[in-house]
Amino acid sequence: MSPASSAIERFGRYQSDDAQSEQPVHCPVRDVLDRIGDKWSILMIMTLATRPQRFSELHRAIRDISKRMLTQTLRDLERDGLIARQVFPTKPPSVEYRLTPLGQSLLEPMANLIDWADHRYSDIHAARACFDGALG
Amino acid sequence: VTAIVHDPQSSDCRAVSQVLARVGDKWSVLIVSLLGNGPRRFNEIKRMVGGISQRMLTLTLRGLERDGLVTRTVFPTVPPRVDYELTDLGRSLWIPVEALGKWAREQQPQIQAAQRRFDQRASEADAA
Repeated sequence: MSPASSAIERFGRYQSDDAQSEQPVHCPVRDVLDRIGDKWSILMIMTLATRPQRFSELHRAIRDISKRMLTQTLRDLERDGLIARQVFPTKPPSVEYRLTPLGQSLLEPMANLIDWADHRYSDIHAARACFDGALG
Repeated sequence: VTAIVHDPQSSDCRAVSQVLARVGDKWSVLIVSLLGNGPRRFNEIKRMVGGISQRMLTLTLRGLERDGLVTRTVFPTVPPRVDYELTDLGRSLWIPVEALGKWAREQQPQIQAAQRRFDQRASEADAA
């Protein structure tokens, strides 16, 4: 079996192919995709890949995220076990976020996606200009 | 990759961020993954993705088409049939998307266990 057909076969496990069913199949893998298919989560994990960081450092690294969205994204990533939150008993208390081993294991597949975005950006940019031109 | 982490203001970073807005989108990821099986009609995609509104699916497919990742082909039947298919660029994206899907499948029990622990701690904190 070729890698592609093997992958397609495996995809089939979490795609609803039941033509009779209008209800989405409950699928735990979807829950995971909700997180890793989220721009802020991806940027957060990439930022934490270098070293543990405080909230304010993360906010500086990802400037266009709101405080509220940053808080929510960190909480979601912690809930999923991808990052850990450590509170240091200083005054005021300082809080540091770091990747867990589970979060570390996501780096390689995520890097492949980022590399793709990096390498193919010019193709996408050209396609957008062409699409918008055809409409204009 | 490192450009994003170290210099968030660089043009590379802004460019990649724009692409991430597409590939870092749950619906786009799911649609690219299922179109790996070959062309699909609008209603087939809607059924297979599940839980997506008509409007969101239309917007997502249009965004993918605009980015050159899928093509939209209208067949002049009555009623017209519309097929969506990955382009070569879309197929190149399918490869890393598949790798993420594999990771998700393998790590999903660990993630669910982490979620249970987190929710348990949260409810204990509420009770305290």
